[in-house]
Amino acid sequence: MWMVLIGGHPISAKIPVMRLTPEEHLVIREASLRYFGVRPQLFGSRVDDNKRGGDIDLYIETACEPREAFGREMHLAADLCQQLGDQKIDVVVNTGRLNLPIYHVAREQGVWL
Amino acid sequence: MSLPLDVAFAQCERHASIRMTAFNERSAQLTEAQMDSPVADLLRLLNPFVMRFTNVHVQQGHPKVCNMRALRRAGFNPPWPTEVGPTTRHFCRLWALFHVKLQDAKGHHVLRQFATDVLREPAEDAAFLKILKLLERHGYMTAQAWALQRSVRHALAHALAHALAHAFAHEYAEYMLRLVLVLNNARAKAIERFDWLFKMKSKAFSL
Repeated sequence: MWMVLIGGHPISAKIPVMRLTPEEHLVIREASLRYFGVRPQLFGSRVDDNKRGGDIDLYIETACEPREAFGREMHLAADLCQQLGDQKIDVVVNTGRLNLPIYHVAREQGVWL
Repeated sequence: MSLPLDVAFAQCERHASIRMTAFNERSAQLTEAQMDSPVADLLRLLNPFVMRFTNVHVQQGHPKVCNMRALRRAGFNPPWPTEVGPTTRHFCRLWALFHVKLQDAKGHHVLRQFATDVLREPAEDAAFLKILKLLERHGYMTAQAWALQRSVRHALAHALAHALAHAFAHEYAEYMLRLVLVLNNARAKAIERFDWLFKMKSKAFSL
């Protein structure tokens, strides 16, 4: 929770928690834009300030057909692995054909990068 | 893990052969229709991709298997889960991820040993990415290709875990397309890995 001043009056505003470095944030966003043309959402333990470490869970919505989306997902994960080092990165890609519980969790918790 | 290179190669080769045999038992490209089968058939189809590796490790008494045995002692009863629930799902995930991690560890070990013993590069304490760049410079593989292999391996582990966990809940049809895509990609990657292994082994034993 941060205190911000709007019109000279302090109000409390909820700032989304995100345990990523600015560099990681940028690398992930750029890679997602490159392969899917959309910004990803971060969810899972990395948006919980009370936790430490943990996987980087990313959620991406795309209109690509599943085969195409799978290929892009593999390249995105490989790029992130190379650029961010040996981190556990899970990418969930929703092509709009299924309605899996993980999609709801990701949308609920997700923070746009 | 510290193994002589010839032993490490032999282990990798055994893994590669088992995997290739498993893939060769199926048609070149799996289809969703092949996966849309009763649970027993589905399990038979997936068996080569998970169970064989587990059995191999059990026979070799690999340290990681202690975890599997500990799981058995704790009440899990491989080879197949018999009910759906958080425990089963967790076990499936552990099971598949265990296999992937073991592959990663073996891969790292062999590549480092190869770079130091065969290519005579100062890679004993080098970061793994540096080793990949060395191998790229020598024309064996690229860092990008290795990262793609890793992505597909992880996707395979997750897809198998999901398919196994959901097979018993009759939800598995939803996961079949994903599983088919992953298995077809994994097949292509297995061939590529086999080719890398062959090239490195030829070089090592020609010295």
